[in-house]
Amino acid sequence: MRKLTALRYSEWSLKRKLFVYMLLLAALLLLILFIGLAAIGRTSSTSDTVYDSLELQMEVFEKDILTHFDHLAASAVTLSTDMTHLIADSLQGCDISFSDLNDNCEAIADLQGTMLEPLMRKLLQTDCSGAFVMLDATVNSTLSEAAGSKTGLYLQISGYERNPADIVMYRGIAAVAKSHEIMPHRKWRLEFQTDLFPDYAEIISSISMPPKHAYRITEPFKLPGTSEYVLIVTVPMLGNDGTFWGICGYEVSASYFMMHHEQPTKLQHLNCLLATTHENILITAGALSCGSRDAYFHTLTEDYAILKKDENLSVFEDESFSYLGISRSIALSSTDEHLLVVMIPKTDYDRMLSKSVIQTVMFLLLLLFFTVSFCRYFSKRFLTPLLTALEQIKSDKRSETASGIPEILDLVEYLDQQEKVRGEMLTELEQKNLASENEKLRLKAEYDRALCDFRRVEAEYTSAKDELLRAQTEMERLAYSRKTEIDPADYQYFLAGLQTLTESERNLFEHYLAGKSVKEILALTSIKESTLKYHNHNLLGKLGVSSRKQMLRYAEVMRHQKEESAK
Amino acid sequence: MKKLISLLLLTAFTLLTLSGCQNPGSRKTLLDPANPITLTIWHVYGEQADAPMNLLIDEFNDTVGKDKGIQIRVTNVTGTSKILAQLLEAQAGNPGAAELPDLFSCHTQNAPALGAEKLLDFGKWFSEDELAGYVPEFLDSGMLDGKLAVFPVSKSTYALFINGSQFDRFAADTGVTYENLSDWNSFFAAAEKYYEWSGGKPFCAFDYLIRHMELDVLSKTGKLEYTENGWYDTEDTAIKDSFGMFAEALAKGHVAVSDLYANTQVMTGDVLCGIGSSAAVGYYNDTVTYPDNTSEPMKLQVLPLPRSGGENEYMPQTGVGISAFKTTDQKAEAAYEFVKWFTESERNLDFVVQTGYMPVTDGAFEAISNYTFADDGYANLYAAIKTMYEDYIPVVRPDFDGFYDKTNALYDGLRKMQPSLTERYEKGEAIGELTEEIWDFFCGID
Repeated sequence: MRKLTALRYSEWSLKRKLFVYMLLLAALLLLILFIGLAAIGRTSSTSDTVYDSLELQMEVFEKDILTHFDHLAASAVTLSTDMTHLIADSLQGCDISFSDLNDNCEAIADLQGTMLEPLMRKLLQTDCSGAFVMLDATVNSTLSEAAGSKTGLYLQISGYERNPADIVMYRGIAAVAKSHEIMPHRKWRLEFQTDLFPDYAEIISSISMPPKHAYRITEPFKLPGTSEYVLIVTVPMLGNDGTFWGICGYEVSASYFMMHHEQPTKLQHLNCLLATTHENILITAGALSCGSRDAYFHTLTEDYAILKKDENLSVFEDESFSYLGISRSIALSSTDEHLLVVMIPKTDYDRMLSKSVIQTVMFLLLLLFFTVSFCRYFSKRFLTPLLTALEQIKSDKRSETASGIPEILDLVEYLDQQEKVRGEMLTELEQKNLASENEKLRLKAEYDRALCDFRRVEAEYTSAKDELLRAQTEMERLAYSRKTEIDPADYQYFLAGLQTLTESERNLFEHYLAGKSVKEILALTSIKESTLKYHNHNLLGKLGVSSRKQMLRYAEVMRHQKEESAK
Repeated sequence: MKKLISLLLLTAFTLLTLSGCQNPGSRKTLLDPANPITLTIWHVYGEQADAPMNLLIDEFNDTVGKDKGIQIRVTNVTGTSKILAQLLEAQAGNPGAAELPDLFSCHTQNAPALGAEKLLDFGKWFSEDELAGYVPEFLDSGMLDGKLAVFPVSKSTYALFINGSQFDRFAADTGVTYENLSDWNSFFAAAEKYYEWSGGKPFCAFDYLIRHMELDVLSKTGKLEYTENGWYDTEDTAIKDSFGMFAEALAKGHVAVSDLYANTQVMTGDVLCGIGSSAAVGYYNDTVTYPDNTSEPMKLQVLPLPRSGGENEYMPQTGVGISAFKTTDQKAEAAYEFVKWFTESERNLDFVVQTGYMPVTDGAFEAISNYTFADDGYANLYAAIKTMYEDYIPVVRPDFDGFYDKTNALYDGLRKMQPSLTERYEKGEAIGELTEEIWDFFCGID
């Protein structure tokens, strides 16, 4: 009940109302702010923000990769066509068939010498780190491993610069390379081993297809003898008679991939991968990766379990490190399937999350701070003077009110005027009231007096009536008794005694005649009872009677005689 | 209470307001972990993504770099012979040139071309105590105009690399042993035997032939005279005698000037061994493949340079250091932090033993003997380096203006001359005339 009372708005103080209004204002501003931010898409969570960034990055990365490998495939098809023509022309010039190349070191060297310059040009013109032509022939078919040993050229660009001086020969005849001022690779071998290609059998199986449909893109694999992972695009080469002459194509090394696919991004430590998966495990061995153009990213060395964080983001984690990102399957050719992954270290995400939380908290604190500050300011500048003025108005210091609030000053002035008018009216009313009271008192006194008089008259009337009755009775009795009891001498003595009475005795005699009792006489004459007794004694003595009864009897006789004499 | 709340809010507001600001007075360092600075680097230590240098840079970025606010980013990996040209291209702002890096691998003799005044003086950042741990000769080699402009991070020397598989057969047939390769006289004798045994193949390819002439003269005479033009004093008979020793073996075809790097000729079986930079160990193939496509394991053996037999034996001291372009103090501090971290003894040893270099701190050198090598070839190399470090005196290469153009001209000329000289020798021309012809060519380089 008390709570309900507290909720009664009408009973709230101005302070409470202002506080609640300010809170409502702050809440309203906050709501408008959030609605506004939501309308322009700025209220998303860190997870959403990261997802949006990664999704955008994925779009760029995917387009980048698809475009790159599409161009590579097209270039590889062209390379196959060009090299096939070149080989055909070379064989025709030597007047030998393709099968005659086996065990023919000189012819193979000549052919490699012929192919080297065009292959170098192709290598430099194409977005790749290596180019190769592997022929289905060997310099020494007598070796036990000859079946898997194939002659050919494999050129690579060793550095980050694309110029002829940086080209090295990974496979081929070293002398041919040196004659063109190309150095053998540090892990050079004379011939290819077909197991260099992770899916050589599948490559061979696709030779019946036209080159533009027969290109394949391998999974990333470690180039034999090196620590470098590469991914290669292969296209078969067929002679005019449909004979399999070999395969050619381009290589994209991990280093080249990293430099070529640098991503324009603000996500520090961004890691973009072209990798494979196996049972929800991200296989990083051989994954080609790239990252931010302006920052570094980690080189992944362990496989990562892929876990779902939420509907958008996945967690890629091993025992010691974890990433947060998104992945997407991608087919670079009709026969392969790779996984594109765009991710950032989870520590970066956690940092972003912490920063976001701190910013939000600080923002709310700031908002609270300003709300409270403004409340205090408004209270101090608006409510406090108002309340002070009201207090002063309530007190007897209204005349000292100097709030500076015109409305208050007007109010004070108005109240002063009202008070003045009311004072005058009050004075007038008080005067009227006083006069009325006086009149009332006067009238009451008159009434009392009149009543008293009335009662006295009435008493006197009653008394007189009673006296009259008594006197009549007495008169009758006296008349009767006079005839029988009154001594004439005593009566004469009485009459004579009347002449000797003092004024006081005379008055007392008259009172007795009037029928007054002793008490009434005492009240009327304001004498003491002893004085009355004294006068009684003298009166009775002077009149020669022994009692008031006798005296009144003689007096009645005297009045009767007078009345009769008057008649 | 109200006052306390106000105070807390004010503090929170102040912290919020100042959260993005630095407080210069609160720390001495110019680095800020919240705003890491990125330094780009061009280096020469392997182009593969997982090359030791790149992995170490990753480690630095993840540890000290992260804590201090430094990120190192590799933007170019190239060879020592190309890095100066690319730096000059970048410095000139030529079309197509890459952006100039903050840090780069640099030969001291190349630094003047870049402008000594444009390079950071690491001596101003390292304290004397810190520098005391480095090999003094290596620090001296990085001094330019009184500034430590090229900070040593690894040093190389030369060593003799041998195809162990073939040498075993050669040794079995001829009785030549590795001990026969310990001095130049027996070395050339073994070369002659190999030439005969192999049917006319050179025994050894030299990457830097003229340097061995220098060291031989120094060993025998204790001095080496140069002309005002920055070439060897050909009036000096010691120089002529020493040069004659090498020239004779060249003319006979017993040795050869390499096709740039000897390792390529060793792995193709063109030569049995090569003398070149210790850092070439990473470029020696694990297999030797002959023209008929037969192959065998390299079984790489590494020996110290053959001795000259003089009062002292000398070894080349070469290899790039790290330089930094002078830009801001913040970048200078970042460069100092990276270089200091990179050359800490244990890390320096881990790095150099993977790349064939010599460490640059005394502590790392002492630790070599206890290091467990994963590869026999590397173990052999560091056994040879340790022998030379103890017995040989390191000598820095000359850095005369144009000197390397002359040596390259010499090597190109010798490569071209050698086939015909050998052919003429085979046909019976006097070796003295042939060596004199080579000497004349040598003198003509000046």
